[in-house]
Amino acid sequence: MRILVVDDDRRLCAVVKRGLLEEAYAVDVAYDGEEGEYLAEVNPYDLIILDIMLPKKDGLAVCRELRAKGINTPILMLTAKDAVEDRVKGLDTGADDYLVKPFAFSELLARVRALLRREALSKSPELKVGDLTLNTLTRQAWRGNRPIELTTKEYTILEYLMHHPNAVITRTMIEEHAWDYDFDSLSNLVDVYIRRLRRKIDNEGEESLIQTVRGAGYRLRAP
Amino acid sequence: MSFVRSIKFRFTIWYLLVLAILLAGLSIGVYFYLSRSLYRTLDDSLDLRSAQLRSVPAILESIRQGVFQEELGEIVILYFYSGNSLIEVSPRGISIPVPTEFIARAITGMPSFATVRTAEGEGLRLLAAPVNLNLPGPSAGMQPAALVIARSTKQIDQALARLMRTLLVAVPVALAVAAVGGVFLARRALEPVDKIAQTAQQIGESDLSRRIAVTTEDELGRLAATLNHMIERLEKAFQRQKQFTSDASHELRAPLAVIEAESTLALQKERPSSDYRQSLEIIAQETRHMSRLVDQLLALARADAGKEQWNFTEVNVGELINNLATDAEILCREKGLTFQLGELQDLVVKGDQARLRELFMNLLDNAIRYTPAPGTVSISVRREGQMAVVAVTDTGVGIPAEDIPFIFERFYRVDKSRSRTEGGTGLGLAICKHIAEAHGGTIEVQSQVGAGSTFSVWLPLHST
Repeated sequence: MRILVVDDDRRLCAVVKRGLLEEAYAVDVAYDGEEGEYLAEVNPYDLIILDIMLPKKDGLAVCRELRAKGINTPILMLTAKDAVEDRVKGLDTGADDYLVKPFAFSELLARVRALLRREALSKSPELKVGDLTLNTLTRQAWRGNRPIELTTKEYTILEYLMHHPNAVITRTMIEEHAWDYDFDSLSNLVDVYIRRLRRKIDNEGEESLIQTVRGAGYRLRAP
Repeated sequence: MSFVRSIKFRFTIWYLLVLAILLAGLSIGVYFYLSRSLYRTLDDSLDLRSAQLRSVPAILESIRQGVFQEELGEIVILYFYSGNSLIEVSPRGISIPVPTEFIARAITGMPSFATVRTAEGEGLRLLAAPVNLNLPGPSAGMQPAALVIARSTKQIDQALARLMRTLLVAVPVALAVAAVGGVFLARRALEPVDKIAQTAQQIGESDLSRRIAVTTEDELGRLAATLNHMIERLEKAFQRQKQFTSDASHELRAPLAVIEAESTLALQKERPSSDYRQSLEIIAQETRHMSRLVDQLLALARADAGKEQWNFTEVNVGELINNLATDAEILCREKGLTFQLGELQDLVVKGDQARLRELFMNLLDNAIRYTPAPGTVSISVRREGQMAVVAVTDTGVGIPAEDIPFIFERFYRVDKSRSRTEGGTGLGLAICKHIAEAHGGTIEVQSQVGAGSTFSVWLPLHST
């Protein structure tokens, strides 16, 4: 899951980015409205955390324009303004949720999870595909009753695949949702991670869940 | 506002009072003038008649004998002494109460008028004039006598009574009409005032962006314009206050947001101690920033309230800068900048040493903050006429021309995200400007983007 954070306070951005990376999200940061809008237009984010008071272009305007351009990525408004009218304005311009600064990190994470879940088909924090289970809260995975140990990046990729069961997911899509813009797309890192995931998920005798779609990408097959 | 206490009421009362005095005066004048002129006409006719009768001895004789034919409405009586008794002769034998001394005066040769009232209450105007009577009989010869002619004043009395009745009705009616007219006029004249007061009240209660409609250029128009001007200034002051409060809360919340996010993130799970150390360092840094911000906000609040204590003494600016140089040099070296101490003239100003130190330290701090390594920050003191000029020059990022007019305003920042990262509060320059102005001085800036800035503080020299 790839998240864009737009806030003019660089130090707050740094904390938020660090915390989100810990939770296995890919994070990009923008420090003003124009940069934020540009990034949101060119990259397929799964969530945008957007401050209202921004230099160059305020968060409400950015939100409005993104929605006008048909970009429906969930937006979490982050603002120092706690006036009710600002929250209403934020939600009315197309934001999905808001969080008033200062906030506890756990609340930010909970709201991020809730918004990402809303996009998924299931409303439960547990994702299930066949006998594969992924808890997005504890970030634990099981194949049947067998727990699977995942690294952060493996988890990110598996979560993304499990959000889209049976759909063909290209390498580019995985790159875009699991890595931030520092990622070098020429490398075959995606294939390496997929191979590792397969090794962890499929024990001998078990059905292979992650299938390769020749010339296209991968598919997480639901029985 | 009750009607009795309104200007309308008082205005009408005063106007009625003046009008009543005027009307009463006029009425009394008219009454007495008419009365006098009517009596004068009557007296003239009495005089004429008297002269006419006296000039003909035959008429006098007929009067004496009581055979004279009086004209209608007149009574003619002749008085003379026969021996010691006063003889009264009137043709119709009508007796009227004529005062004795009045007759005596006429007999001695002095004519005079009098007004008397008969037993029936009818008024009579009398003229007694002296005549010489040629008496026959024992006491024959010329003898002084008095001829009295009386005419009724009934017509005059009636005319005056009619006038009095007319005035007694007309004056109150006129006053009543004037009262109604007065209230109407006062209301008309003061209606715009009521309207202005009403609008001003609404504006004061709800919406300072509204204005009173100015329709005329008279006194009321000017009043409305003056009020509008005042409301505008109030509105601006409120807006500034609101902006400042909003800015201040945003600025205070920014470090709080970092502190809360950082601390709650650190507590999410067990971490190596180096992670905790990093978090605590960030929190400590934010706390320092916040306490600086609070200090500066308090300083400005004190300045706004006019509650500052200034300790003015003679301050040698050159020496002051020289003492600052050590601190400035350490700060520069830490950031990899070169510090240059320029020419320092010994110039004495009247000032608060601590606050001046704060002013120059703020400027140096600012210069160091916005100058990337390897740059240069320098400070110098020179004399320009009757002013001491302290110049702080850096080779830093510079200030865009469009931002220069605003950089001394509170919380104005050229690049908000960068400034906060560099540790600026957005209040330093506002404080510098305040201190410079409290010393009767000014502060100005010259800057070029990418080349650097020079802040100059002009302070008036202390005249010895």
